[in-house]
Amino acid sequence: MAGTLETLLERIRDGHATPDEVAHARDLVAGDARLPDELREVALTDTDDLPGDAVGLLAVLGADPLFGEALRDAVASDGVEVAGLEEADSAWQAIADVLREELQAVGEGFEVADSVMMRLPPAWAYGPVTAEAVLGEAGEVDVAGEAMAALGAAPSLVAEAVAFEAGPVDVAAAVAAALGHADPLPVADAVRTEAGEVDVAGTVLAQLDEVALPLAEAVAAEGGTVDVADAVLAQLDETVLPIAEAVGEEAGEVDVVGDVLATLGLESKAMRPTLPASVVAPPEVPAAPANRGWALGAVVMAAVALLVLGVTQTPGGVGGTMPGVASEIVFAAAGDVVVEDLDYADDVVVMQAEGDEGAVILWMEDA
Amino acid sequence: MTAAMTAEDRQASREADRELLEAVLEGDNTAYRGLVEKYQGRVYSMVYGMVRNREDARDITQEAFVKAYRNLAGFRLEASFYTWLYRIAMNLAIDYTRKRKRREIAGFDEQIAAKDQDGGISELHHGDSPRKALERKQLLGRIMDAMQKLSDDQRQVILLREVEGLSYREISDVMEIPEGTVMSRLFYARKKLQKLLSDERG
Repeated sequence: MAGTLETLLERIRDGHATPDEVAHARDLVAGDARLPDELREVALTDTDDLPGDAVGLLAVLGADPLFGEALRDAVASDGVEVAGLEEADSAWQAIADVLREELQAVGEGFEVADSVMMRLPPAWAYGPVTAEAVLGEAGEVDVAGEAMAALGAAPSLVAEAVAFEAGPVDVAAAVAAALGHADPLPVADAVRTEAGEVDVAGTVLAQLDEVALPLAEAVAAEGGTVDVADAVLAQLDETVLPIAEAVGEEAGEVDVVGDVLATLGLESKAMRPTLPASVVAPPEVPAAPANRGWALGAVVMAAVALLVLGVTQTPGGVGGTMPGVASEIVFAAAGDVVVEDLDYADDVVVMQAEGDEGAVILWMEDA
Repeated sequence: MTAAMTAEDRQASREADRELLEAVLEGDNTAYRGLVEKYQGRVYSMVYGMVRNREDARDITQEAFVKAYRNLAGFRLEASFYTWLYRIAMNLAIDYTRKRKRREIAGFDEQIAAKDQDGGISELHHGDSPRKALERKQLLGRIMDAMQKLSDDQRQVILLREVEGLSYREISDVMEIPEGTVMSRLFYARKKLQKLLSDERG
């Protein structure tokens, strides 16, 4: 029945409603689609202030004469300002005035723009500014020192990981399997004669040590003093073309990766390993190792690298025999070596390249 | 957006915001400073009203602007920047108050809620007599105390309506709730605030 709810609400507001009328109004409110769910659930449930609820409901329904025609029209039309609502309630108006004026005063003179601008990620027009700032702050950097410091943490971690995962490993079997030799037994026997069972962690560490120093020297020779701004900006979002362009104009281009790779190629002679003592001197044969995970992949690669790099020690280059190794071992030319079935984790990257003397270089690092 | 702004003022302000945003998106970051300077005081007022701690309000305000900037790529230019900004700021403030409540429940810093009471309120800025200013300050302290007893949603709707003077539609945009819910929430928030104040008085 149209108007029933409004009539009941007016009676409640005026203090004339009976308990039954209040209950009936509550039922009507709960089922009135004109009211928001939140109101329908809680309205008229607070018996301490039923008139207050009735006033609010009448206002929302646009039927409260207390707020006048203008308010009713405003509430009825979607989104229109309800000017005058506060004027109808002087008590509330006083509260609202104080709150508004005082809090607005709090914000007067508040300044955060400088801090915000400093925290914005470098983008768009901020590229050149960033480059200048970094250059001004950082100046020249000892790249070799940084690289060595970074490498310094690696060997012990690698050793621990390898020792934990692999323990002593049957290198002969691993090499034979990695080479995919049609008849791996001669290879395995030869390697086992020479190397036996190996302290893998020690071997890997030895290899890392051999790599680290030439690498540092190479980086120092090639990198020397570096344009830090260029390096920093290179790490920024490459999709922001203005930065790249601005930095390109400011700093030119530095192909660090190319430089390092080139240097490693030149230095490959210095990195040619001699088998560490732990490899040359056969220790007691341990139990078969665990064969799992990335560590074995690393071990296999290290073993292959040992073997193939060892080839380059041979006078005449590839295709010869390794001194001290049984003569029936025939090594493939570098270009003919195909490494298959390497087992390594997703976070390991393997690269293969030919050096100046045809040596195969296997390189692994965290992706 | 103060209550005194007309619809024309709002439209002009919105157009100005849009021009600044377009400039930012075209590579002129300095244009973003214009937006920050335009809204920093108002956002700070709102956030302070939510958290009632000056330093935290400063941090939250700063974070809101940075977060808005980082998400500009997803902002629709035809939308209202300031309602979007307020939404970010208010959500950050609500996150803050919820974390603070958890800490208080854990008993680590139960004093935080009362830490900066009226600390951000300027004194005697109305040109009133000292006595009148003191009374006003005390009244504000009571109001702010009562405000802290409202739910986050109720406090938010009161601030957006009474301090910032947003329309129901704008509050609806900020809080992402229907306008009818805005009205009912505002009604109950006012009613509860009045009741808290009258209970305290008497």
